[in-house]
Formats: sequence, structure tokens, C-alpha cells
Amino acid sequence: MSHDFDDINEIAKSRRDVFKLMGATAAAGAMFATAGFDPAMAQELKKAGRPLKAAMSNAGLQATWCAQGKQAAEAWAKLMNVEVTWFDGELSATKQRATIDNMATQKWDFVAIQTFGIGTLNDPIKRVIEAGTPVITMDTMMAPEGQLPIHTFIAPDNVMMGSVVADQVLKAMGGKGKIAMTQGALGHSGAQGRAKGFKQVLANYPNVELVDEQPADWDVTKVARIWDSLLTKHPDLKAGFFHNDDMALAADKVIKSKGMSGILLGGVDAMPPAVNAVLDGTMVATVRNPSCRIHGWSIAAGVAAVIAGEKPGKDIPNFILADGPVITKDNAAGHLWLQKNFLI
Amino acid sequence: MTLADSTKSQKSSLKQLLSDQMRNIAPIFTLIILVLFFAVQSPVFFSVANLLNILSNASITGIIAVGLTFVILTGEIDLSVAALANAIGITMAFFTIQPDYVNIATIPLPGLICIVLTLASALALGAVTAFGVTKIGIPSFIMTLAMMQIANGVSALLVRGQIAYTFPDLITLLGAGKIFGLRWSIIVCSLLLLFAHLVLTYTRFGRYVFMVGGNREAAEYSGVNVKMIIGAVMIISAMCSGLAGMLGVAYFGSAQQNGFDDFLLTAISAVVVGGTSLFGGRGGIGNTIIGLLVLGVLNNGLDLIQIDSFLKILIRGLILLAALVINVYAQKLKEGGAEG
Repeated sequence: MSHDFDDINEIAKSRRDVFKLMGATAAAGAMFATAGFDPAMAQELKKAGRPLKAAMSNAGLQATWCAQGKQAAEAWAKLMNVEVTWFDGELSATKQRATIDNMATQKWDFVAIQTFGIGTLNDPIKRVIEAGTPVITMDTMMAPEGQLPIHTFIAPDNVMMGSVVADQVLKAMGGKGKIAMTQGALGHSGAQGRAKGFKQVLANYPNVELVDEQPADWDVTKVARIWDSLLTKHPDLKAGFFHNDDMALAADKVIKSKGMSGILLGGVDAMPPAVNAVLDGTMVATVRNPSCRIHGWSIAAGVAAVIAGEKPGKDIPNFILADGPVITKDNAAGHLWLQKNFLI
Repeated sequence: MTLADSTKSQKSSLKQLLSDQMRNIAPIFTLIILVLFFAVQSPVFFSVANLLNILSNASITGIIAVGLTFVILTGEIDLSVAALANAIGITMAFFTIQPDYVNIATIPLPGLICIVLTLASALALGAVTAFGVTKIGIPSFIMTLAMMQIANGVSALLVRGQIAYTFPDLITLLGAGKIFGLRWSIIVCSLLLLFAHLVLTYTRFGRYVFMVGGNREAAEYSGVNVKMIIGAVMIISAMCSGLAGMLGVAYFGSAQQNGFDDFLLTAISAVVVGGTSLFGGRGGIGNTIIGLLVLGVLNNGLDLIQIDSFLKILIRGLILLAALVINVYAQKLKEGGAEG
């Protein structure tokens, strides 16, 4: 299968060409194989015979991770005969609620949503589910467990993501020295999981001192402020772990502006700028939060629900892990190709 | 008087009427155009469910906008409305028992006491703003900016990155409940708008609010206690924001840090798009209602038609800019008319 992909890659000039060359059915098969599906099971999943209407929303298209997810969803939707209408969360719980309220008055074959504020969409989503529409949750829990009978929940393992990057960074430190963790927003379930994973691994390194763990709320300007004083206070800082890559790259700018170097940086998300930063040695490692898998699989799950009649908890489990690899220099180049074609 | 004089006089009075009413006519005209456009573009637009949806989406903003209308009519501004709404919503959650999975230190109190204490917190924060603006003499822009930070600090401190889901039953009913298919939040907002309109139109206090905004010096010379009026509108604004925060957290289903951030611009937009003058003295609750409907219909309609997600934000901005241009232009026409 990988040989087929390589051939196609050589011929294709763009991701659109890749999709065209593979053809819809072959593409679905190839992607499911890449995604780790049993090919026999994948046969159950068919391209929609009639055009399906799907409504999708994620936290906010200002975030590159979300914008990439939208592109991935639309690419997969095209292959599977689904017409996607997007409702932008605009990185605001109240704006997302208003737009989902508006979405809920219309008729959809299926709905897939990444919630910005946990628990804020219950009312309109209940109405959608009561109307018999499958609702797929992406990346973030929509409501505390048991409150909403959703179709399935496709998400990464944030604890694992925190721990695998921490492992790479701590090993690169040689198991001793000072490290800082710059956190995302403390209320974010992803940030909480990543912090937990980091600390689990850190516990195995008694000679490493965690000197700072302030939240920068995903805000790169806050990162600059925190790291400016952090580097003044701890000029011997050896490494930094960040809850996303954007913050790690922002800290790198502060480090360089101070004329310092050699501080080992690790992040989460593995968006292309960070993968390139791993390739050029700016970052030690990052881990893929697989935006394309999460959004693409949601399309697949929606089609399976409508066309194959998959029932939640019976034909499809309540939770599907969308895993992503840790990115180091060894696998970074291949990973960039996968992202370019919305495969991970 | 010759026929030419009479025609000239008629034209002049028509121009006068138009310049007087421009700030009222323009938003209504905008609303009609938007309604017609979306009704033609989407069959769902005129469904009862969708119209109720527009009202329900506007209800929480509407409660904040009531208080803000008083403030803007006096020629002042309140930038703390959204932060204060969030802080008060979170304060209410702090006084309510939360489920086991919510890791927040709370002081659970009986529902009614919780509501009274929460409203008292809003009153206290409003009083601090009023004191800063009227007694110390800090411009409202700066004072409410400081209050915004304070309220954000209160929110962060109480909720500590966690999310609260439970609120007193009465508030849950008013924020998220329905009666005969109509959301209670729409009813509360409508009653508040009506009450505010009556106060502004038929009471001495209401006339003073317009006087202070229209010509502060003249109001002072007429014996109006300007500081008292400004202090009062700041407290009214805080109370409205507090109420919106309490109902809002129930409406949205959870209380969390920065939950209401967008309401600041939305509420100011609603008041100004409706035609209330940013310089004070002109406008009123009627204008705010039209402003709320313009924004509500616009946001709703853009979600009903097939349009690029990225374009929606630009369109909203352009409509807001057009409304602001009309607002300022109407003010200039009025001033020009008064001078002529």
C-alpha cells in the first residue's frame, strides 16, 4: 500500500491531484488502511449514494489546527459525496452557541462539532439529536459524560501526547537540569491532559527541576512575557515543554532575541511550521494532534451512520481514539506529506 | 409668502425631518432590507422556530444593552459589561452546590439567598464604578476598563480554570426554561426593555439622563445633579450586566472564565447600530430594540445561507461600519440643522 502512495506522490503535483488520481473508492480504502482500519471492516463503509448534507463546526477557524480540520473535512466530504456547511465557532463559546442555535433550526443528515466551551451547546444539540440526526463530537468533550446521547466521540489522547513529547525532551536533557512547562488555558481539557502526561513522565526524572508552569492561555504574547522573565530568572534553563507548538515557537523567538541558544523545546499539535522546526533543529519534538483524522473520520462516521445505519454503542463505539505519532527528525518529512494530503 | 417660498419651506422642513429622524429611519430600513434579503434567500428564515431563535439569541445581549443604553445616553461608556456579566454568573455558581466532577471550591447557599447575594455583588461592583467615575473623577472609559480587569480577575479566581454547571432552580428556569414554547429569557428581556423605555420616557430621571447626555452644562445649570445621574446609570448598567450574567450562564449551560467576552462589542454594537448617539442625548430603548434585531437577523441569516465562513465576519464588520457612519453622519446633520 505504501508503494502505491509513493507512486502517486511522484506523479501528483498537488493534493488535489493526489485525490483525483486515487479515485474516490481507492482513496477511501487507502486512507482507512493508513488510519489503521481493518480493510474487511472498511468494506462496510460506502460512499454516499445520494448527496448528504452535513453541518460542521470547530472551535474557531482563526486557529490553524481548526482551519486545517475544515479543509480535511471538506476533502473527505467531496470523496464521500457529502456537502458540508461550516458554522465557525470563532474561538468563542457564546458565538459558537449562537451559530449552533441557527444550525439546529435546519435539517441535516449528520452533524459533527468540536465544542469551544464544554457544556455550552447542550440545548441546541439535544434538539438535533431528538430530530434523529447523528451528532459526532470531535476533539473536545461536548458535555460532562452522560448528558448527551451523541453518536460517537473522536478525540486524541492528550495525556499520551504530553507524555511522549516530555519523554523526548527529558531524554535530550540527559535526565538533569531545569525545565519549564508553559501551559494552555487551564480550563481546557487538552491542556489538563497534556500537563498530566508531562508530569507523569517527569516523575521518573528526579534530577530534573520543574521551575515554572504558568499558563499562557495559548496566547503567544503572554508566552513572550513569561519567557522574558523566566530566562532572566533562570539563565541556566535547559528545556521547555509547551501545550502547543505556537507557544514553543514564540518562546524560541524570545530565546533568540536574548542571544541565547541550546534550550530544548517540545510542543504539541505538529502543524507544518512546527514539523519544519523539528527538521531544522529549532524544536526537539512535537506530537501530532491529528486534525485531519479527527475531522475526516467524522465525515466517515456520519456517512456510515446515515447510509449503513450504524447505531451508537452497537455498531460504532462511544469513543474512537484519533492517535498521532511523536514527530522527530526521523519521521518529520513523511509526516509533512501526510498532512499535505489531509491523511493525519 | 410666494409659492416658491412655500416650496422652499416644505423642502426645508422635509430635510429637517429627515435629518431629525435619520438615526431612526436608517436602522429600520437596514432591518427591513436584511429581513427581505434573508427571507428570499432561505425558506427556513420565516419559520416560527427560527424567529424565536433570533429573539432567544438576542435576549441575553438585550439585557446588557438595556443598561448600556442608559450609559451611552449620558455620553459615557461602560466597557466592563461583559466581564462583569461573567463574574456575576460565576459568583452565582460559587454560591451553588456543584456536581462531584466539578473541582471548584464553593460556598453553597439556598437558592434565594444565593440570588440576592449575587445581585448584591453586581450592585457593589456597579457602586465601585460609580464612585470612581463621579467622586474620584476617573473618565468612564478608563474606570470601566479597570473594572473589566477586576471582574476578569474575580472570574479567574473563583473558577480557577474549571467549569461550573449548576445554578439555582429559579435562574435555570429563567435562563434556559420555556413557557408555552417561548423562552423565559425572551420574556425577561422584553419586560426589562419595556420598563427601561417607560423610565426613560415618562420619568424625571429619564429626562435627566437625556439632558446630561445632550448638554451637560445646561443640565447642571438647570439644577440636575449630573454626578448622581451618571453614578445611577453606571449602577443600572452593572445590575443589568449582572442579571444577564446570571441568566446567561444558565442559558449557555455553564459558567467559565472569559465566557462572555464577546458580549461587550455585541452589546455596544446593538445600542449604536440601533441609532443611539455615541455622543449621548439622542436615541433610546426603541433604537436598542432595532439594533438588537438588526444584529440578530444578520447573524442568524448569514448562518442560513450558503456563504463562506470567512466572509461572514467581514460582512458583519462592514454592516457595523455602515451603521456607525450613519450614526455620526446623523449627528452632523442634526448639528448642521440646529446651526442653520
